Amino acid sequence: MASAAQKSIKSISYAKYGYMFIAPFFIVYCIFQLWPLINTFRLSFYGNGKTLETFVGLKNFQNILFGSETNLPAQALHDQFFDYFQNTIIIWVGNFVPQILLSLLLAVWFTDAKLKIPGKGFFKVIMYMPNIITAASVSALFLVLFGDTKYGAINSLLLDRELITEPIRFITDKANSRILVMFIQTWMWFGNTMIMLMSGIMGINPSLFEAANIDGANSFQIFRKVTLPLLRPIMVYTLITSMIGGLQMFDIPYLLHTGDTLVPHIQTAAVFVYEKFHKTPYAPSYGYSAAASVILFFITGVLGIFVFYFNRDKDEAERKKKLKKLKKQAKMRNKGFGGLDL
Amino acid sequence: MNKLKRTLALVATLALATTAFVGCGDDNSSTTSTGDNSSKADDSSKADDSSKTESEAPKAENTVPNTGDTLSILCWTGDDIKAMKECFLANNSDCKDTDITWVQCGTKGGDAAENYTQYFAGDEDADLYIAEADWIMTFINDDAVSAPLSNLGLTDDDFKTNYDYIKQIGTDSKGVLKGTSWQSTPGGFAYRADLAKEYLGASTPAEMQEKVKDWDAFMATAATVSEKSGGKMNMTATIGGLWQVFSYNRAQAWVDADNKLAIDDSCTKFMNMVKEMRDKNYVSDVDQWSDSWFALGANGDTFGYFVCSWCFGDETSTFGKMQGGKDNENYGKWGFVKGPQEYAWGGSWLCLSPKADNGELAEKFIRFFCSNEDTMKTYAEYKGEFVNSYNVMKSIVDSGKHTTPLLADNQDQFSIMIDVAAGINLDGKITPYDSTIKADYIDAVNNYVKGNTASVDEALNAFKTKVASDLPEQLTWE
Repeated sequence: MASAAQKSIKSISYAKYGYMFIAPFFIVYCIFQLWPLINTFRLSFYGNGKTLETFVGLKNFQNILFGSETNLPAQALHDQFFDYFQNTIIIWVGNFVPQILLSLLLAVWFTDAKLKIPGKGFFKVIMYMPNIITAASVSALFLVLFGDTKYGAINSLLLDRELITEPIRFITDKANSRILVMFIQTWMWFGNTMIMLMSGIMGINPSLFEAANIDGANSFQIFRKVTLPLLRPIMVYTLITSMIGGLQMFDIPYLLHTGDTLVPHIQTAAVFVYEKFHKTPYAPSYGYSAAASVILFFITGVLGIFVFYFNRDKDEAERKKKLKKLKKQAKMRNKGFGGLDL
Repeated sequence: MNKLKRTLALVATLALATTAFVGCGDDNSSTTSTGDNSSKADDSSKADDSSKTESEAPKAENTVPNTGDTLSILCWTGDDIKAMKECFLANNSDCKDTDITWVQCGTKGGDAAENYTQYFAGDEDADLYIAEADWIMTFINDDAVSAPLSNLGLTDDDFKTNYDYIKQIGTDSKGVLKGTSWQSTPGGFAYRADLAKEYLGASTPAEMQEKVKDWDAFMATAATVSEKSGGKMNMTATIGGLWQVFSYNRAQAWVDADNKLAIDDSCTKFMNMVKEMRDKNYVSDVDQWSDSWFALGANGDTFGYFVCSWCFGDETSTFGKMQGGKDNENYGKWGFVKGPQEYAWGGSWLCLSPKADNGELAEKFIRFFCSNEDTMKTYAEYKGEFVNSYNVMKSIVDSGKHTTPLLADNQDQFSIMIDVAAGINLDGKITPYDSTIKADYIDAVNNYVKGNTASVDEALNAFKTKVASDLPEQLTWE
């Protein structure tokens, strides 16, 4: 039996102060993050406009995913969502491919001990710079530069030099607008990706590069046989984060327009979500908005798992599998033959 | 010691937690009211009750309580309210500066509509609010966010000086007047007077009006201007301007009696007309209100603009900027006529909040700006505003003293606008969904004109689809 004194000593626990200190974060998180998250799921099962409080089950999902031949709004929502989703994919692919190639090239150059590029720090800062400008400023900048009319900077320059006779529609033309958004996204994010890849490369044991050098491998061989395989975890991370970011792409595509008409060719799925709850403030379509975000959530999840699965270290997985098998076999043997090794 | 540590830890935690919630507080910094919340809640419920009984039998008695100490006006046009407050205080010595305040709810009408909804849900002070024609119906048809003006003891008699179209917009679906305005915002066609003489031989506004008296004449004149200027000059600046005129002259509302989207011939007609004008470069491809839009006039690239009452002012006003400011060679060389059809642009309606708790002051304020012709004239002269009264504007025009530096030959824009305002008729043509539907329509027009959609039918189809997607359950679809 513990004495009274022992009992009281036992009850002095400093853990509770720890909980108190971390409580503010969790309270804020629950109110501003967790609840909205849960509420989004809840709202996706409820109606729109005048029927916001009515439970409609999976109708919102059905309308968005499959449309309807007899119901015009359902078909319209379906078409619009998939149009916007297609734009998202096109723009994401078009910005991710050049971005990763450029970042990889620069990361390898900047970390190569043999190259000795002067002013590395300066270049890194300059290349990272576009990322710290807000999207609003970037789109304002590009709207001024690439204005559709003859008053746009690039257009007026080209017209002045008589290289073109009619102003080029950079902002509203289908191909031009998409290329412009891809370019802006690449320009904004390649610095960030480069820094990430550089840290990945610097994490590789330098002796591997030295050994490859001594063995007479050229730069390309080192890149393919040493850098790339060892960089895979970072590459997978970059791919997944960029994909999530890409599916949620909103600011530039939404902001890049003049007047009140959004450019239809660059509207993304996130814009769909925003438009549905925001565009008609007096009778919002919360249900469709929430359903679209839930769909995006699942697409992101599935794609993430897919990418992760295909890029995991296969040797490692195989080794683990073998080990498991061996253990199992050993266990079986032990069971079957009373621990005797036959 | 231990206790001290514990207390300190608790205090620190609480402090952290409190700072985390600072952002959730009342961000309404311009409201100076410190009234007791609980009493206010009571008042609003009282006001609610009275509004129900009042709407059945309007009486000329101010039933709104006077428990609040500040008249709070929700708006998105703080500049307007600021000028009104200054004028009101200058002419009402018994009111002090702290009696009237306004809350800026966003910078665009659409933002304001959203913010109001949240504002009414909370318990902040709100006596009057400003609404826009595009969405005023949503508010005045909802008794939870609007109250009849008769609650303030104001009857139809008090508003007989006002323009009919302003009253039509401020009346709810049951015929109860819930919104009024201090202004009317008629528009017309501003043109380069010097070039009109040179190209068209029209030396007076009356002669110019003949050249643009309807859309056919407008097109013919556009052809002449284009030809005489060597194809360089647009007849008018933007599609947005043309649309504003056209939208006020539609034969029916966007939503018909069965709550269905009404696409009529005028939609087709407008698309065809705009396409032709754009193809022949009678209208430019710049966007309404954009920097390029101002540049058109300043650089002498456009012959005309559709401008309205609130564009006028000094050289920094909207119309002043279109002319490139005082030192520009095109400054002050413009004329102003009625144009092909009557229209107005924008406008603001003063509505009574059901939570109002400054009855007397609210009544006084509305009487000052919307009912009393003498004080309305004071304000018209104070701000240069086109006020909501034919009689007042008539007396200003008749005095012949009003001129503006923006127009050539000392022309008075009010003398033109007074006829425009009298000719506007919007009875039954306003719906709660106008802002969304109109935006979708003009999107479709822009896409058609820019060649993204191949034909009018395709463009109209795209328009219908977009509205269906934006208002899936708000409208009826077969």
